[in-house]
Amino acid sequence: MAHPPRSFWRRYVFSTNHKVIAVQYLLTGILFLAMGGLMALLIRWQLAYPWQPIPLVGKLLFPGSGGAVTPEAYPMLFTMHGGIMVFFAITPILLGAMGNYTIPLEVGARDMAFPRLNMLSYWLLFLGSMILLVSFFVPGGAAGFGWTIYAPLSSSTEVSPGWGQDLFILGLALDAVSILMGGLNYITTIMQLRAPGLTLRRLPLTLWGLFYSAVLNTLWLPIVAAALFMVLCDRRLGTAFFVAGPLAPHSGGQVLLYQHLFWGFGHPEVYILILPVWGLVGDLLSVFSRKPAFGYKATVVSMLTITILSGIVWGHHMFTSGMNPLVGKAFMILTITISVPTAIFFLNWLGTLWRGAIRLTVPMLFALGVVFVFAIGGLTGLFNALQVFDIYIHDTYFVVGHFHYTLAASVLFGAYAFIYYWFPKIFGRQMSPLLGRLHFGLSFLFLNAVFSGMFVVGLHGHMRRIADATTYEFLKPMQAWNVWIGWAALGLGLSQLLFFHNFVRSLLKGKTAPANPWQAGSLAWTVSSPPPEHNFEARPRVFCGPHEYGVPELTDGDWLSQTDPRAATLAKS
Amino acid sequence: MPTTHPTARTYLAIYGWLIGLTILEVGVVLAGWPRGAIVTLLVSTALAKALLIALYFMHLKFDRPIVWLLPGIPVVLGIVFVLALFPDVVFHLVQRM
Amino acid sequence: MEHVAEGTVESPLLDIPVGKFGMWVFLISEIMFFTGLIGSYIVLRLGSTGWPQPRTILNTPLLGLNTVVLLSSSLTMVLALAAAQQDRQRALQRYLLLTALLGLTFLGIKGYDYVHMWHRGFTISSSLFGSCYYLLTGFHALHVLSGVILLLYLFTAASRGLFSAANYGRIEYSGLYWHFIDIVWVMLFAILCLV
Repeated sequence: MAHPPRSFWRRYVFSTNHKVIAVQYLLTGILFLAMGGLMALLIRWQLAYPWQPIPLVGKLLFPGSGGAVTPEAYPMLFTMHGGIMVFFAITPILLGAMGNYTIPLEVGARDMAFPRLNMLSYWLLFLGSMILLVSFFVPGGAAGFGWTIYAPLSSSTEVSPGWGQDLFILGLALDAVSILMGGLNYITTIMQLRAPGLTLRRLPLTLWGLFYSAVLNTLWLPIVAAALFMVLCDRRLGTAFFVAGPLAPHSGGQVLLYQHLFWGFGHPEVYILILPVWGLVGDLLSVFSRKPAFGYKATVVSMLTITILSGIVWGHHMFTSGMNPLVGKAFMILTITISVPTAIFFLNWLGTLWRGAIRLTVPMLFALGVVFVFAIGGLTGLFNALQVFDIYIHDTYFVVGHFHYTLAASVLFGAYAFIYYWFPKIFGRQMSPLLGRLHFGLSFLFLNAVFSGMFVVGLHGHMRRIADATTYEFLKPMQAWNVWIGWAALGLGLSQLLFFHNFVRSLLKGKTAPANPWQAGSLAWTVSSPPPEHNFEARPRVFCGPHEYGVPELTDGDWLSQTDPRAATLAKS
Repeated sequence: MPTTHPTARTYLAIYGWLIGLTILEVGVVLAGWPRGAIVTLLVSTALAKALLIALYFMHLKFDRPIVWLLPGIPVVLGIVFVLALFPDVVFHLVQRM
Repeated sequence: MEHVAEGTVESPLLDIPVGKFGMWVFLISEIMFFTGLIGSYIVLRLGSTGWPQPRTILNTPLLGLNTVVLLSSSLTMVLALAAAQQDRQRALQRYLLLTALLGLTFLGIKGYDYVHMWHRGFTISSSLFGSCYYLLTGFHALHVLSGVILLLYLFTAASRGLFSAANYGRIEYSGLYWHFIDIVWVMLFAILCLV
């Protein structure tokens, strides 16, 4: 099919091709990951050496205070760090990039179900991120009410003046619409456009994770969108949905409603971010153990159970809010229940590894890294689920340690596993394994150093979101930990330079990649690296699942591709 | 796709019911019926009208039952979510610290 | 299933066109959005004291008329679909235009109603009822406006002969959206404006 030659703009900028859009999401996400990471380093510097000028970059960032973080800037740092990491770094990389790139290829389609909607979804993210950047430069600076945007701090312009706060909410709202559009495409494509023979039982786990994630987004993002519009109304239109008491223009608003609405979305959100990682790890452990994914069906059902449960546990973020205690108990029991399906698929991961012919490639290292850090993060979640324990550690660094192990560590390693694994397919070049291993090893060490320290200080009572622990007598013994965490964080940050260098250098000068460098069985690996513009010459025909590794009857190699006709008789799935 | 389509007469009949129910709703409010009766009636008529539109105009009655899952899940979820808000926001059974 | 195992048969989750599936997924998110707004209204109202009787503030007959207008537009929309399915091009165009005009009438009456009440002191910030009223009906009106724009696009496409008995999907999916907004109004009318 001949195309008239298209301009640079239509091919690489305003393209409806899912592969181009995925790369746009990836680059945007990596950029904001660096920005969010830099903010984390500023936060850790401030906590380690309160009010001291920051070396090198201090005078540039904080000219008015001689290079030190100011009390007004500190809340902006932790607010924007959280908001950027969740919505503008991880979501674009794991949902936007991984979702867009892998889904059409792995289901055997030429593109997403709605390519023009797909293009629009990226540009909405772009617009939202620009608005976010602008918010740093308006009078009053960026938002400072925490990424959770709690009312009445957020909903009152008396206490949170400045348009930077409104712009943050607006940027998020645009991002939310972008994510909803993307989710619509993912759900429709995965459910409706699968190639002949590709039944749901033969779907790669990565796509199951992306599907469940998209379902959660479709259901819960609109709830927080409603809440955020109400906050904007409270701020600028004189309403009082979430303002009560002396600040309220008239009676009737209720503050607790905001928290319910926010966490009604906010809890599913964390599962939205990690479900694709769980799926990806399930696939990677199989590919690099040369074994079928152990307990595939149980894993799919467990992830579904977690998806359902995740929508009815949000109150565990509100144990100390004054929420009705009996309702709190219900939330506690439901939260603990989530650990059961989680344990099931986790054990299935271990079952996949058991007696496998392990290949310690860089993606595999990061997948194994996820297994390790998620175990720690998940186990500490069990503690937090108990009302009695949570009342003690709520709003302390114990929680920060927990969610950074499950979010920052697991999700970050998952994002790297995605990039290292799919880079050859996306760009047709191979990344340096040596740099990759170094990147993994150093990141693993420093990451554990940073976040395990947080459990210690958290148990001691170190609060979240404070700028200077030394003002509290009882926290003075913890200051040495803050210094340790600060330097470990710097090490973590610097280790990521290895990744950036590897990424850029491999893009420009990497070895050419074959179609299937990992000997993986799913559909994407049956086409060239990078794939042709419309992915497949003819619609693929699928005869088995994506994890047919270690098939004993074969004389040439140990695995079957999903499109191998021999699989009709030889495969188990 | 072997699904049947309603005729224009069916559509007009449904429309008639919708208008009739609307007139009933406005009527009882303007006539000043007792509170409890108004609430019960209005909730019932609203649900009835919504179902008529969904089943006939949105074709759900003639689609395969599994299609009902698509609107069904968020409706059920929505109801559960709002009910969960009742103890705190409606009944104020909050913990006074 | 043998055919599936041999890779010859597709197995989509639902046996409906991709566009219809996509529109329903979109409507799922819309249902949840209005759940957030309407649900908040319900609990805020039930949890507050001194909520006024809507009929003492709102123009009940006018709102009733507006409801009839919107319900009529759902009828014309579904008649437009029927016309498309039967390849009756002129009827299709007529009904699409009529639906759009009824939608605009709804918006016009709404606008007149807003201005009138605002002048009498019932604003978005004058009471919690006011805040809920303008927020909910305001977002609903925005959805109606989007629907009108969509209908006008469909009308111009129909005028150029883009639709036929073999190709009426977009009419059907747009109809789903239009009927959904009608359902939202039916709910708002009963539990916000009347009760």
